Amino acid sequence: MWVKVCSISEISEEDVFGFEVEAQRLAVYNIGGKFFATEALCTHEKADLVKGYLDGGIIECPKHNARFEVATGKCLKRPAKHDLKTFPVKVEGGVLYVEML
Amino acid sequence: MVVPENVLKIEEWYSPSITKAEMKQFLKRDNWHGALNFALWFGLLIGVGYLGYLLIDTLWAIPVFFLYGVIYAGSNGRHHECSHGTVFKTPWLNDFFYFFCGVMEIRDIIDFRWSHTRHHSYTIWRGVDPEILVMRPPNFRHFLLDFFYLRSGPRALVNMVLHSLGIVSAHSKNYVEPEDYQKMFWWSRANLVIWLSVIGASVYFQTWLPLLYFGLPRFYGGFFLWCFVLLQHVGLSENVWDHRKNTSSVDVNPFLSFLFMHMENHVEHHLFPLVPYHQLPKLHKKLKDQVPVPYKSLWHGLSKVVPMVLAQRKNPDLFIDRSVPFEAD
Repeated sequence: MWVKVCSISEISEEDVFGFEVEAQRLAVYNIGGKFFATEALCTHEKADLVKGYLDGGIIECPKHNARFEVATGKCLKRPAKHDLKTFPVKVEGGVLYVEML
Repeated sequence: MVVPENVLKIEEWYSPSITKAEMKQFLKRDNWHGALNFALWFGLLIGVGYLGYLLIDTLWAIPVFFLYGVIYAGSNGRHHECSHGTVFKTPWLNDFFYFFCGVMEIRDIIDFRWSHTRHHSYTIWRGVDPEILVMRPPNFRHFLLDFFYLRSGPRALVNMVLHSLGIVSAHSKNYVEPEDYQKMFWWSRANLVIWLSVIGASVYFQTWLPLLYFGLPRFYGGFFLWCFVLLQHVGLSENVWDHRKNTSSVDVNPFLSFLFMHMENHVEHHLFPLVPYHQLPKLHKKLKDQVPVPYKSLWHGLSKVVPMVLAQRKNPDLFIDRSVPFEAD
């Protein structure tokens, strides 16, 4: 089911924003004009990745530096062990939609 | 292993007010700050070390090597900052210096990573934080010994040997994830090889010089470092979800600030661990109305902490109550 999240103008380039979608916190990223969405809470201790450091398509947890590849959710660095859940996104008419699975 | 969820009720840490746009600026990384910092630090070590070598047969060698040791103990702050991955923008540079400074600190990179993760998650929560320097009630003899790393240092050496032999130390069992034990063993072995090389060189050439330059300085040069790190958490509140109460910042001179990588802004570091060290002074200015006033100097801080440590021997419930502008909700 596709859920409307926001206007793409709300997410500046090389940035990450947090949204509540159906009682779940998501992180939406704009990387080089491409959009991605993952669960927002680090799989280690549930810190909010929206407050983390985004660089080169990798989001770093603000608490303990766990790293995840935004496009795939793949966990790249300890102390996290598990990948982030990712969500398909699409942009229609300047509006970003996320598919809630 | 200590499982925090089984020991305490986990709550949210106090978080100060700062906009996302502001934080994005503070989180920015680069390579040149770290490169300059390390270049200066190595330059000082080499310069002072060479001076010590020239004066080795004179009494002047004593204060010069003491200074060398003080500079060498800057490995502590560098090891710590590199463990956070924020000194350099390029990850492998952080990893390389994290390992290198870790050898000087007698800490392997796996053990410290897990210990420090636990410390940031459960700062000064008794029974959970493995990095509480002075337990309650304090053992004053241990407290004094660590002015020259004479209690923690030998324990670190023993742990390095144990881990190299594939035996997990009792302390590390509390916080290192079992699936990382093998990695910890191999990184400890890497540390041990370097240490044994230095000791071996000393034995082979029948001179103290190799150890005087590598290894021993962490002990004989640790005085100011211990003074500095004591102020960060010792004597303060424990078992609270507010870093403003269990952590303190301190104003120090530019030399100590450089040596210890701006860790004098320790409250700010705990509030935002991902902020690179060189941004901490600006972050402190931004947050100063929301956090307690720092200790005015190293000695001002010690004038509070040392009497409190002595008092806690009789009454462990006493603590230094840091005034905060606002109470946490």
